[in-house]
Amino acid sequence: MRKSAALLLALLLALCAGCSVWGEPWDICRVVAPHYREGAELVRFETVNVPEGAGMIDALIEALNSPTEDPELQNPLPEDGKILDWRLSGTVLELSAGEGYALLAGLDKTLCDCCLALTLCGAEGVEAISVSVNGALVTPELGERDIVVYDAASDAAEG
Amino acid sequence: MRNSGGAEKKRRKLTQRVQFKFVLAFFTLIVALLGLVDTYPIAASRDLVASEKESSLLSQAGVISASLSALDSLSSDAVGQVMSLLDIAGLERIIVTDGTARIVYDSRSPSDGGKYALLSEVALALDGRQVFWSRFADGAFTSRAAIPVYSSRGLSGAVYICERDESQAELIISVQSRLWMISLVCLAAAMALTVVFSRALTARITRLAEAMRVVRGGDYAHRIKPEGNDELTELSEEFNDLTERLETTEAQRRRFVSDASHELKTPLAAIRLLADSIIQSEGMDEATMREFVADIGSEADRLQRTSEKLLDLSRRDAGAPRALSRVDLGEAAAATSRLLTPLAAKMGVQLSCSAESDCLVTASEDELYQIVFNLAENAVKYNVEGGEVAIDVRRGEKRVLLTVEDTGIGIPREDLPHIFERFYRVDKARSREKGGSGLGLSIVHDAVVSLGGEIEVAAREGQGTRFTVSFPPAAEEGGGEL
Repeated sequence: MRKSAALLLALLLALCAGCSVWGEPWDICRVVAPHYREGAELVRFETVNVPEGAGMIDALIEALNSPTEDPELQNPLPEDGKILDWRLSGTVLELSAGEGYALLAGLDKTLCDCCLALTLCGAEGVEAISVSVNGALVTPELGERDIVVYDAASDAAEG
Repeated sequence: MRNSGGAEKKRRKLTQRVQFKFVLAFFTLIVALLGLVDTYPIAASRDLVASEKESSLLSQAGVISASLSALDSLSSDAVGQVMSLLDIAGLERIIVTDGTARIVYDSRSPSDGGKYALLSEVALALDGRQVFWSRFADGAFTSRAAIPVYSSRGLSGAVYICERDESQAELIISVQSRLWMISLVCLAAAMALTVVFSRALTARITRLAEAMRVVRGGDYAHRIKPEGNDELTELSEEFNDLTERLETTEAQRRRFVSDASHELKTPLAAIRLLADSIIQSEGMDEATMREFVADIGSEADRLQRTSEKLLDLSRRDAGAPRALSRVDLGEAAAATSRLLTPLAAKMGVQLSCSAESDCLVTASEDELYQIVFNLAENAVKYNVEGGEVAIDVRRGEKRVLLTVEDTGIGIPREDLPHIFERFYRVDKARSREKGGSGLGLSIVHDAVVSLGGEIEVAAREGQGTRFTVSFPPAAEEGGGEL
């Protein structure tokens, strides 16, 4: 009986330790593939686990650079436009992207900028993002307050 | 559960009963029909409204897009001026975006100007497509449309409009509610009628089954009262006919058993009496004893004849197979005549026989001989001194005819309907004296009928009797079994 209780306690502690290593769930903003957009939303969130504290932003950027596992979603970042580096300046997270990011235009650029902002804003100390390519600013400060996301099933506003 | 007839009634689950199945089938059918009636009109109405809204919203969006197409670029001020000139009413929201999906005009929330509108409709419009969809939920029709805006430089932005119509939705919901209410009332009324009707139907079936149990228990006099004028009425009437036949057959059986017992008991009693007399009489002279023993022999012979005839009747009733062949009825008549000549001579009766050739009948030889012999023997036995018996066999147009006619004592008119019944005797005393058992004519009648023939009797009291038997002629290649 005592051995069983000790074993159970050890398992619980290991689980808790594992949870702290594994981190907390975080929503990564993805774009809905064109085939699935009609009558539905334009962007959708994909949940991943990221570590708390210092390693969080690196984990989020790594997730943003990675492809999605959902066949209905797409990663808006081009292959040569991934996020390479970051720096927190005040409450603005300054991102440095590959050259392909500078070639984005129109709605495609809007979707990349918004997915980065909706994913990274809300992390501790981040209220807005900006994007530069080779030192040149391509996206000025952009926060969640600058984006309107509608749930296609209702008239609810605000993203 | 036992009824008055003594037979056990099976217990059945509710779901096994005809009434339950009947009600369930009707209930399912009515629910399906009402469901169709309640849903199809509403669905059709919604589709009609949606179609109307698509036309209306796309038209309005087109007007806005056309008005904005004159602008080289979609700036907040320019778009605001154009929109102020347009008289667009009844819309929940109008959004105009530039080519990057940035909002340049928002009718509901002007502070959203400058924000990015991540709407799938805007994205599709910026891809050059017209978009419309409508949804009926939460008491309203919510419709959205989006179309691209083209300037002289190409695609410059998108117009997005949204409408929420509660009045039409309320109308459709009201109609739907009324339909459902009416349907519920109709369903309740239909189910009530179904239960009443099915109960009436199954009650008649149950009464019929109950009557069958009563009859099976031995009460053959039981009848049921036919109700209505349908198939169940026909079933009831057939049941009553069947029961009546059972009652008649049972009565005949009882009478036969009773008569057979009496006929067998009588010679046995006589034998017993004579034997007791011999035993109890001391010093009986030899002549008297011989007389008594001779009487015992006569009664034993009577008993044997009766037993043989009963056995014959029993075999016939059981439908025992017998071998058939083509038999000459004329030869049977001639043989019978030869056999009965000594008896006729002893009784002072003149016996004659005339037969045509080739009077062939499909029968068993023994059976045919028995028919002729029984009729001829009766004619000789129940005749008068100096009387005549004539046996005649000839071919008619489609039948072979046997006639046995005598000038004997005859049969009274009131006895004619019964002479073919088993154990029936016109004059019991005279019949016993002649050694009769009352079974001879029954055997003749049953044999004639089993061979496909007919027998008729013509009689005048005191002036003789004539029996006429007709058979179908034998086929070209006869033989077989019945």
